[in-house]
Amino acid sequence: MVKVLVHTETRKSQINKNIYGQFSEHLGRCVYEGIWVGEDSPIPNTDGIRNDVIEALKQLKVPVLRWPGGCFADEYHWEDGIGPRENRPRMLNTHWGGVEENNHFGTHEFMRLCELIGAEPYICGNVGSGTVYEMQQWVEYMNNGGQSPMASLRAQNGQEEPWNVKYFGVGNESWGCGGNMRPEYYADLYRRYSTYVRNYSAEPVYKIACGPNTADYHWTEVLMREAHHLMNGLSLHYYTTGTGIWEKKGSATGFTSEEWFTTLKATLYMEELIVKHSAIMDKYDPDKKVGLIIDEWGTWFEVEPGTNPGFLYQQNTVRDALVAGINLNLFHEHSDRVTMTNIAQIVNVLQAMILTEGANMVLTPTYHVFDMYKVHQDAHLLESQYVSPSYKMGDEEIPQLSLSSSVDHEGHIHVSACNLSHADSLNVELDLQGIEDAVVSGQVLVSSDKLDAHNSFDNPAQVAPKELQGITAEKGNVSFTLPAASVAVIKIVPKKG
Amino acid sequence: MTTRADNECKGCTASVHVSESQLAVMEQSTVTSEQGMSEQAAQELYKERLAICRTCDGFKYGTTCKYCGCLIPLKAKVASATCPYPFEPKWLR
Repeated sequence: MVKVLVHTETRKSQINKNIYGQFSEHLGRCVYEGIWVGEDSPIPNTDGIRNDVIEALKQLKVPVLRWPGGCFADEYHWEDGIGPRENRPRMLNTHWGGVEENNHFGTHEFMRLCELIGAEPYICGNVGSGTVYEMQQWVEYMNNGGQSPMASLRAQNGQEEPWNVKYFGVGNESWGCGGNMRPEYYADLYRRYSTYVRNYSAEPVYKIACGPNTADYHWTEVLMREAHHLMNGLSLHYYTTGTGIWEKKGSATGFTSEEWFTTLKATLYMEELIVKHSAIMDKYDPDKKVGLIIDEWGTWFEVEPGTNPGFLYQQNTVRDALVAGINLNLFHEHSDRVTMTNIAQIVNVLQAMILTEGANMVLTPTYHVFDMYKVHQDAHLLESQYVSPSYKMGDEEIPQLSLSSSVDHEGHIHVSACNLSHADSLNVELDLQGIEDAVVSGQVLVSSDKLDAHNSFDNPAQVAPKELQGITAEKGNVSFTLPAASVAVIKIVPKKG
Repeated sequence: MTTRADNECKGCTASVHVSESQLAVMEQSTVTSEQGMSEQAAQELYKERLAICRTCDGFKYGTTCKYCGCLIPLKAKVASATCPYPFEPKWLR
């Protein structure tokens, strides 16, 4: 049994709802088929965007959506994606295997998607192969409500009002596919490009600089030293593989208990990355004005057998649910610095919320974690103190419990808890400091039988949340049992008087 | 942690264009998957499916269905597989 002291009267940082952000790249079947089917499709759609996906994402309360990449962003020329669709030029998406891109899903279509699901757009601009002028024009096109050539062009294309895009990334992975730059060079480019990301409304654009790849601390040092005063956010990318080895990532399903352990150990590395990058940021920005924006994270496994390797399509099991739950708990705990994250990717690519196949759609275990956890959006983090039992595999060990708690604007407390062990259940007792009595309930996501249980088009509800049985409250103590390999969210409504 | 050469590009190595030899390797690697364990389609049915796919506007790069992302030369061998064409499935059986 593990005892957790929850300090309910000490509110820590606010959990920015943007921590629950998503990422949509022109890659595989994420945008085309996953989101965009076109107005002539027999799949029910709104202005070309499939209705089943819209409804699922509305339910999820997606706060912010990153687009058009990723690597694709650095060869995307936005003017190809506006105007009548039949006139839009075709291009080769060379970063993602040479796919022909018809540009039917462009700025207007993306903004419509954001409007339909209630998300803020986060645009990633092209520094790798684009010009300063091109970026300046795009921002003017999207945000200028006054008279100007780009505002007129936008109106001609059917959008009178500006979209007032709040979040703008200046390049993507500039250390890699976005230009293979050194940090010193990119820092100067960032200073130059970001200067022309102009403000056209009272609310200034939140500018996000390209940050480090995983543990490249030198990159963070240089960017913060040279440009922190010109940025609002600095990105970080880290993917979890099944083996911890990039070249051999392991299968999304059919894995062993050893691979289960290795994956969860690999994902826990996110905390070290946050702590060490944050320490560098603290040197230059002690007031934490610059947000750490983890705008690509999630699992990356081998593609599903029999699918095109360039599409990065993978299944999604309870192991992915654990990865999501663990990382979201970490983001909560570091929400004084981590202000936005974007899991990769929203539909059909890597650790997706949704999988589609023709007219069929299925929700993944990761979707259910995001749905269960959304109660933390904009809530205040509470301090939770506990010593986790160890989860051992051979000579290695990691904590068995990952947990975080928050209080929302109604005074309701939510505790999200992950049992990392593939085999052993875990008894948990919450000692709610400052609460005399409470009404409690909970939801749990757990594998029904196999460790790699997942939802397929033939069996879409194999893994779905259910009520957590056996949860009890006695005065200020709440007890429950986490089944092996499970993610749970507990709701605590304090009794008044 | 994930070990990867510093600042190595993540995506450029994955091509959507799959050669015959790559297909053969992939077919071998599917043997232990759910797909590989499934009952295999008769040769006649396999050829019929391939012929239908080759005339479909969703057939891309000479191998791939854009609606499900599957490599058709592999998918068509699975007896229980179905066509995801959203207007009306094209595989007759």
